[in-house]
Amino acid sequence: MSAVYPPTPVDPEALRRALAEAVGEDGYSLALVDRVAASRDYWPPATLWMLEGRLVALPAAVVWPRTVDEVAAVLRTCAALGVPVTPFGEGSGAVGGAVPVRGGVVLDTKRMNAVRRVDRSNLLVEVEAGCNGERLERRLGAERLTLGHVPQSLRCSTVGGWISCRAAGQASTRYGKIEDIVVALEGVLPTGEPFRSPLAPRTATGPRIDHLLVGAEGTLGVITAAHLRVWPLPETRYLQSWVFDNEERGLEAVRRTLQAGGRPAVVRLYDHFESSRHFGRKGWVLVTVVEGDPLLAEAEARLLKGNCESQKGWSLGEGPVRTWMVHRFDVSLASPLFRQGAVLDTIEVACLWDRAQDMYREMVGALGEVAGTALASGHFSHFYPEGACLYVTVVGFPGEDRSSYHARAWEAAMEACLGVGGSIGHHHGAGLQRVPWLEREHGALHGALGRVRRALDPAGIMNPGKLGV
Amino acid sequence: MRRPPASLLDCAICPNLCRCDCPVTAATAREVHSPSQKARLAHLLASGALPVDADTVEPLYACAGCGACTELCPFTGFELAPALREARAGGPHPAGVAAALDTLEATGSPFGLAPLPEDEIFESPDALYFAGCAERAFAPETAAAAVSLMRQAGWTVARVPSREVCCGHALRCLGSPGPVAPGLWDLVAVLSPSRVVVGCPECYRELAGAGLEVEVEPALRVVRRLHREGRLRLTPLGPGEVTYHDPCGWTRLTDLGRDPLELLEAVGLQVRLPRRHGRQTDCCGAGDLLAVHSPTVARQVARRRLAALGGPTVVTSCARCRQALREAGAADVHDLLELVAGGGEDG
Ligand SMILES: Cc1cc2nc3c(=O)[nH]c(=O)nc-3n(C[C@H](O)[C@H](O)[C@H](O)COP(=O)(O)OP(=O)(O)OC[C@H]3O[C@@H](n4cnc5c(N)ncnc54)[C@H](O)[C@@H]3O)c2cc1C
Ligand code: SF4
Ligand code: SF4
Repeated sequence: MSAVYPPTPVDPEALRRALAEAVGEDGYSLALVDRVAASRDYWPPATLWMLEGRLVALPAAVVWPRTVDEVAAVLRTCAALGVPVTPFGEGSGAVGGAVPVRGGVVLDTKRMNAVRRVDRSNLLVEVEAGCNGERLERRLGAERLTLGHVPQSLRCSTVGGWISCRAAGQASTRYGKIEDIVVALEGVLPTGEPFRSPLAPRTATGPRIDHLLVGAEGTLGVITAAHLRVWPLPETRYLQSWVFDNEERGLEAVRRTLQAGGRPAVVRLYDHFESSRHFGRKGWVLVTVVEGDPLLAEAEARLLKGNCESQKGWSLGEGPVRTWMVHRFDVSLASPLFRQGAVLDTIEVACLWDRAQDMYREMVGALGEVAGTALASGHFSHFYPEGACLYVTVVGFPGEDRSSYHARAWEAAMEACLGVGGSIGHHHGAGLQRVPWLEREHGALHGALGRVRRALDPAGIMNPGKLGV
Repeated sequence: MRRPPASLLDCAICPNLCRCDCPVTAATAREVHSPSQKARLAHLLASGALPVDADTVEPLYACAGCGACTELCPFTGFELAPALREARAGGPHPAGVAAALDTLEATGSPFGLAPLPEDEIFESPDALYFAGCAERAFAPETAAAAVSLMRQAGWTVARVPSREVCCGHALRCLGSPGPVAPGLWDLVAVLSPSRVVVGCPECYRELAGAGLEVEVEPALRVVRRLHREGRLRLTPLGPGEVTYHDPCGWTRLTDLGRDPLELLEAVGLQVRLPRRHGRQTDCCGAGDLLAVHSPTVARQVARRRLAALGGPTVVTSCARCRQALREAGAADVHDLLELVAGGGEDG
């Protein structure tokens, strides 16, 4: 199955003139190399296009605005010309959200990368959308602060990308997903109107329209900056791990901890495949980090320990946690696998506690049955008082048609997830990959999202083709 | 252009795990300048998916060879900068690169050659000093300081004559690989020096890996050793505080350890290290001739580094770094060996 995305016809000369006016001569490019670079994210089909030597979804131009006013000028220009605009951070998105499938203009946010202000008394940082995660975290670290948002893609993703995908860091069980960390946004609506949301801890002045942009994947406007909640660097850390005979006991230990009010930062419960691969252990290994204020952290560590012991968890000490810490950003497995003819993907979903075991069994089982699958495994991470995220990894050696294997694997996984009941996506976003199942996920609200989109973006320019709107 | 090494494909598939530390990416913000995208471009060019011309190969040159990406790279043994140099080989050459090659052909140096000190050749010297093209162009005094320090310690030091200038690195960077310092081999055979000493990290890497039948050593390491052994006395310069900019080439690509800091401390100076130093140092933008063929990009990188360095008085130990920081507006930047040799006054 080879994707073909016909671009929106544009007059390059008219576009060049319009962009030059909006952002100046050094603010845009029509060069082939820039357009090629902006035509992919980390969606596996886009990797396959490269391996097949195909150029798919080339935009007509790339633009690098530096300010909110320049973003507004670009959007007004593109709306007037009817040219699609696809926001692009660092292209680490895993579901094709940043792939400009209708051509047009890619709006690269990386020249808006300043950390504008660190506010120590209110524990906030105001940061521009194109700021790289690692650079932000280092800047905060120098002031002994942390965002607590550490996705595995920290070193290759931006603040704007996180907010647009409703991303989750590895310590989200304590610090929350990015939607819990965002306090206020600055951005530009599709019509070119800049906005700033009120800077207050909470509001009760009607629905938060700015929140529509959280998770909108660039379909409802461009985020240019955000106020994010930050924390003092944790003074204390407890690294603990256990192994359980089965998932039921491991999940129960975590559920009791969360429902008692405990908030460990890192909680990862690996199935027997992954436990054996990462830690050389049989059974389900639970890796945890509890951190924060010494008094609170000690109590949380004890709470967690007690719950794990009551579920007959066998303590493995700090070792597996340290192993995880060393490898937490290492995704080197994918490259050689792709090079050798495989397809690798990860699929994250969310469900309530009472469906967690079924979700694991159904999804891993369904993926295992897809012809060509060599391995399907999973772990639970990102926990809540009411449930958890299940993160499944699938590797297939399908022979010739890798794209169609990839599509079949997703089909199997999504059907299994919808069958059990939950959300078909926890933190990677919908992009292009989840579009076929969004209507079943959202029901009538999916149509409503389309109507909201048409109201905010009458010219229909913002990231068309994504989110199914 | 040549087919890039197979390992470059791993990099092309990689989600750009090191991009946060690439100084060129940070300066230009062009996606195509990010490490993995350069590898992806090399793959697309080599596989025929993209036309190969002076414009499409340009991003392959957007690299300062600093090795910051290697520090974060999960692929053991993979180095992007040399792989990019290989991918450039054989051209075509973007305009800036073609101009640098012309200069190199005409003068023996991509920078154009400054007037040369006289050759000093004699048999069986303790050291044969090899001054690289950047040293000859911007810092003949640095070479003179290195030679003078070795002589103060009682060594006999000969100097490689002018025609042996290119260690091969410049040609490799410019996509036109040639032999490593061709005349040097005969010279070493005829003069039988005890060692070849070099002041530039790139020359050092090229010559040390070339298989010369004599040891190759960095000047800084030699001077530190001579001082440690008590053979070289240094005149105190302190008290005073200097900020040390670690050249990528001397910390990441060749590890000089604490030698530079110890030399500064030996002359009584207090050394302030910027937040990014040692293996985590940040590039000045001058590596891999970026400053020659893409001066605007290199200047952007240098300005960022200069701003991060703070401190009014900066010391470094690479001629290209010093030049780059000066061009970015540093008022007071010195070469380490010149400084400890007592000739560190700088305009
Ligand atoms: C190795 C790896 C590990 C990962 N680990 C995690 C993880 O632990 N947790 C997690 O949540 N995700 C993870 N991801 C997914 C990905 O990193 C995130 O989705 C991230 O949020 C994307 O950021 P980005 O800057 O790369 O965005 P991009 O990929 O450039 O864009 C993503 C989407 O956001 C839109 N967008 C980007 N910036 C803006 C803006 N300023 N305004 C409006 N729309 C915008 C784009 O149009 C696109 O739809 C991982 C990905 C990789 C490759
Ligand atoms: S140098 Fe290494 S970490 Fe950087 S993009 Fe290439 S493979 Fe990835
Ligand atoms: S060597 Fe330095 S400049 Fe070149 S790609 Fe790596 S980090 Fe960037």
